[in-house]
Amino acid sequence: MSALLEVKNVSVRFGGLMALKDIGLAVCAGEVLSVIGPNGAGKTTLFNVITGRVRPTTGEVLFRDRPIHLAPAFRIAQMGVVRTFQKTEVFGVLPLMEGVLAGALARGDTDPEARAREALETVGLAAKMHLRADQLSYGDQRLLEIAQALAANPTVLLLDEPASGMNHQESAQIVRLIGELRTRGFAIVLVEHNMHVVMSISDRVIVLNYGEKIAEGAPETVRADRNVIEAYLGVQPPDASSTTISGGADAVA
Amino acid sequence: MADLAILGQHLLNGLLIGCAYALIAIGLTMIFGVMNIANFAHGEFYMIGGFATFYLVSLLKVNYFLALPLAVVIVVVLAIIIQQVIFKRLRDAPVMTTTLVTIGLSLLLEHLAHLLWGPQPQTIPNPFPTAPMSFAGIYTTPLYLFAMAITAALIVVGHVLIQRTRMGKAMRATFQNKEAAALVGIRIDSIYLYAFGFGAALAAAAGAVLGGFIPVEPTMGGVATLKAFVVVILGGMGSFVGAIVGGLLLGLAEGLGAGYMSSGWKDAIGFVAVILLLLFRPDGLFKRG
Amino acid sequence: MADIKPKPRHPLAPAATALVLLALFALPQFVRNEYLLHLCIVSAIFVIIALGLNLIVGYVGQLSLAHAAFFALGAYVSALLFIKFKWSMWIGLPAAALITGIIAFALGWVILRVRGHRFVIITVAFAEIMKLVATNWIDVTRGFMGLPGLTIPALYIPGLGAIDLSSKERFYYVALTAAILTFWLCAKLVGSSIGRAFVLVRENEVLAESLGISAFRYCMIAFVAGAAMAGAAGSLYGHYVGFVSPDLFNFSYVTIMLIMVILGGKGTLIGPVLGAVIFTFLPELLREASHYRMVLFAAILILATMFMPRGIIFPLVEHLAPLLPRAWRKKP
Repeated sequence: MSALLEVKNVSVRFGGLMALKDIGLAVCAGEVLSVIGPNGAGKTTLFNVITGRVRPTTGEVLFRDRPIHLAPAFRIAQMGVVRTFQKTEVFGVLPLMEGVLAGALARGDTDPEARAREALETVGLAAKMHLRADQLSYGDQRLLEIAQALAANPTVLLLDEPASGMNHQESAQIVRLIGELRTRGFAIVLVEHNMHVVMSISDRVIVLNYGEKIAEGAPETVRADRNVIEAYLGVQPPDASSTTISGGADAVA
Repeated sequence: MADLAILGQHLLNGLLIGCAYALIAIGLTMIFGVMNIANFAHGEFYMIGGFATFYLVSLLKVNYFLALPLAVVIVVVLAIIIQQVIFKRLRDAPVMTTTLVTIGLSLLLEHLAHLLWGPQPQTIPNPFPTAPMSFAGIYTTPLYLFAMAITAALIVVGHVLIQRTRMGKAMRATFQNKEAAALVGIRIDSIYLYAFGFGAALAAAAGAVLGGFIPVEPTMGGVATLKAFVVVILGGMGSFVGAIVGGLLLGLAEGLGAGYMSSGWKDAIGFVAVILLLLFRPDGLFKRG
Repeated sequence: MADIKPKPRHPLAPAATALVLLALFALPQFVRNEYLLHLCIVSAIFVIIALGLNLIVGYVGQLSLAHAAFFALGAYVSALLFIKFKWSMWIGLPAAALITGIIAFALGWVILRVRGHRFVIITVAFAEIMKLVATNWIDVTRGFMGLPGLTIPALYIPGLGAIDLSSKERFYYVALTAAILTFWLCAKLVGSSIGRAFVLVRENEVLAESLGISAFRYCMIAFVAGAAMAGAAGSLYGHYVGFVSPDLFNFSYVTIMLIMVILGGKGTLIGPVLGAVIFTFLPELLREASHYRMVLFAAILILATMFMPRGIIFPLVEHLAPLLPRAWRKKP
């Protein structure tokens, strides 16, 4: 299957610092690609490059084989590449519906309310439709962010730590939601620290450390990778063949 | 040679104004950087500095050289009151709120000045002989040289305070990253107070010193604020060096402009420069610092 | 605050609107005092200005201090067209709106790429440049001497001939119609998807952009529309007063416009209207004490901005007038 979204040889330099070095990835429809790595590894910068908030110093980003890395952020969103943020972003004091239909409005949808209602139903917030965004609990606000993104009718979803700060029950809900979205055909790139979520839902995993890609592959393969263990724990794995990251990675991340 | 003398004259005329702009802009930059407030009332500190000096000298018969620092102290006290009563409550307020408040403050101070001191422009009486001196065909007066010396010295002092003292370093740290500064134990409220007072002091000093030949009147604050903003934008909105260099350059440009173009248009130089700058170099001429 | 369920439109809403309109149109029958009529006319003109400024300040949330400059620009355009080409206000007004809109477009193209503090200061710089041009381009604008001799045109109706509109009573209808038209346009704009996008940009620009809304585009729309309204108002004002001068560029105009919008209630439709009316009448009551008045206004502006972000008038109205149509009271 051809890739919907491709990142090719992207490097980003901020002043004297290389935030990303020669990063490449590809994701297809109906696939969940997780990007993991210690804090500061460049994951959010990667999202910023894909969505046009930051221009790559070198390299390009292709969506449906067309370069998008120089387009303005709002244009990229209109094309179908939509993200959520690490720090919850909602439309404050507006009624829920007004914020969720933003994406539909942007695309000139004839019935933005309908699109918003669908999105809210998908994430399971339909019952709270009449509330204001700032009246929701933290967990619900994270779901709201995904609804906002969905209403923009994306093809590619970039989710930035959607399960952060959530308890076990809430993260399970997120995992179910992501699975549902995958079945519907979205291409999903997920940045996450919660290893349970990453291991349960990812088709492939990429590991970043200090802006470089140090591992890529199926979740179990990556988990056993020496470089990854070293990056997370800062030490050499005691026995190369038998050590895997389980709960330890959660503790470090 | 005569042409060179004329050029020199215009440059000299502009130099003092440039130093005044630089002083006012340094303070504005400090307030903007530390408190994230575009202080539209900044020029009023300049104006009140001038009026305070005038009344100290002419009404209270205070010695001119004593009146200058005294006037600055008076303005700093006023600034402290304003900071404690108003801006302390607006610590994390949005841009529109703080800007509107400073606009209101500017109006308040300007019209209070009208009520207290009347609209008449007042020149501050000073002990310098008025006879002009000349070097190589360029004319100046002792007062002018004194004013130049003081403003230049204050710019240097300001620079040293910012770069070398503990307080200066603390202010710059807050400038760069407020949260980090708070985390390492810098008391943000104190910093705000110092930054605001510091800015007001420099502006007041400029007003006090220039009041000897530029007559002081209530509306002069508005123009000073605008020019200071122009300088701050040209300098990059966060750079002290930019404020100093920008202030001097603007002063010199206006001096030349007043000399070679009609004086009405000279004020446009700064404003046009700002808009052009935005077209071609949106990040200003200098980097943050 | 309780959760917001959609309220049914108040059954009396259309009746209330009709009543208000009727009262406004009948006003000159009851108010004969020339001076009061004058204030009503000026209020109507400032309603147009305030509604326009409200689009930029209240709806997209950018503080533009160039609004008075657009007002004065419109006045000058209309005046120059009248003096050079003998074009009456009927042409001058739309021309003023158009040309002001075009200049706002060009300016916005450059300066709306930055927002926050820099934007505010640039708008001031622009206003100052305009003032300097009006003052110094003596060949065209006659500088401080201004452009006198502007007249209110007659209205030609086939069958009825020329109706003279120069009495205060008659011109009131012109101003009132323009104000109502502007209000209607704003209501349509604000209720449309453009208006909803305005609010999204104001509430969280970064989020709006990430969902496909171009903040630049919507700021431009608000900026240009607001400027065109100010320009139209300038034309009305110039012809009414009969004289145009660089004083129109004074910073005091922009402050009073801001006070009208902020204290009246930014981000609503009725707020600027009330603000315009009240702050046209109020200064006149304190006319003799102009500096005291400005000190008072400045203090009110500071206090209201700090403690009453929804304005002073609007919350009062909310308590006193539940009969107003819901759309007029739409919360930001």
